[in-house]
Amino acid sequence: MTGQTLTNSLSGEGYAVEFHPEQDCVRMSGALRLGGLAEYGPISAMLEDALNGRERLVLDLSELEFLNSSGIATLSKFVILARNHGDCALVICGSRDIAWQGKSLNNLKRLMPALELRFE
Amino acid sequence: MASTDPYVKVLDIEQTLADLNQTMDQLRQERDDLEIALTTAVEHGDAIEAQLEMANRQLQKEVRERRAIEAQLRQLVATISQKSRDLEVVLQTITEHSDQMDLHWLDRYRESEDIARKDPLTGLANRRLLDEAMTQEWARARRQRGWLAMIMCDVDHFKSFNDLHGHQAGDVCLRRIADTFRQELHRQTDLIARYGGEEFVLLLPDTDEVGAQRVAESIQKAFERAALPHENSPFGRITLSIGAAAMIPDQDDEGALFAEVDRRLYLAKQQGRNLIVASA
Repeated sequence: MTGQTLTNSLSGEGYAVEFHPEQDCVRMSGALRLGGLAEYGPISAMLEDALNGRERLVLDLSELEFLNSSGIATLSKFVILARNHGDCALVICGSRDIAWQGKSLNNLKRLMPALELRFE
Repeated sequence: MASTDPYVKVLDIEQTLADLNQTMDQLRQERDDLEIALTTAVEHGDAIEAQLEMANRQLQKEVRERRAIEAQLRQLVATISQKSRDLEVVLQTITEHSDQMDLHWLDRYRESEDIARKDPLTGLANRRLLDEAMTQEWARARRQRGWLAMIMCDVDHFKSFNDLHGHQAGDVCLRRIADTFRQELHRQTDLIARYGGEEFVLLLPDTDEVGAQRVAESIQKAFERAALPHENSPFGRITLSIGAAAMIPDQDDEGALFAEVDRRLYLAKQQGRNLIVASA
């Protein structure tokens, strides 16, 4: 983790993760390539926090150009958590212009069939 | 026959009473025995019933416990199966994601490689790619004892074109010059490179001096047809001074071919420009 600004915002070199409670939305943008699951810990914690006590959560990845393998593992774990949580409808927004999102986001839907995927 | 003697009669009655008493005793004994037997049977039945009840309770308890264990095991199996399925999907997700990322980086790498070897203005090969191709083709020609030709072209009076029209117009003109070269070379093995500001080099494998001269002439004619205007040139259009040479390499130093075409290009310029020098 190269830097952190606000409680509801995590950022570092080339990426930003923002939680907007009033919009029930977490936005990730830029290129996320943190080193290992441990470095993704604060992002996992933010996602888990966003999930708790909420009926609906939108995870907006439409400006997330790059995500390394540890990042997709973190997202997979979060989707399993949301599925087991059961009380919160999860929506993931992606972009068809970003090559990795097509296949990887559809694989996340296999983990949670109730997951709603939206592509711009 | 019945006795009529009164004593005898009394004796009979006593005998009868004795018999009756005995019979009563026997009956009492039998009744007591039956009561004992009945009590024993009842108590035994109660004991058996209690024992069966206890055994039944024990069995029901065991059945409940076994069902609870079975339910726990089913739950455990379901949890493990779900985790196993999740892990398989996560593994596949990560694997496919990694493949996508590999492709992403490979594309970036190819783009960088491409950029590093192309002239951004004209899209032709740059000097780096020319040097690499030259080393490769020189070695191949030397191995195969084959010809390798090079044509070096300099755009005549290009500085004055830039002075008159500005660098933006100069860039447009250089792109059109590059297009004219592209239209004249058709072999996949031929390479067109922008060597410097307004210098272009063509590398032609398997081409002798006659072939090189023919290509140089076709280029010159193509520029004549294209007639790209150049008001500051005595020819009124874009022209090229061309040095062409071909060699069968017999040494490691590919610089010999460069030096020769450079020398001939110099001669073409010296002799008045818009000329081809293709022989020693």
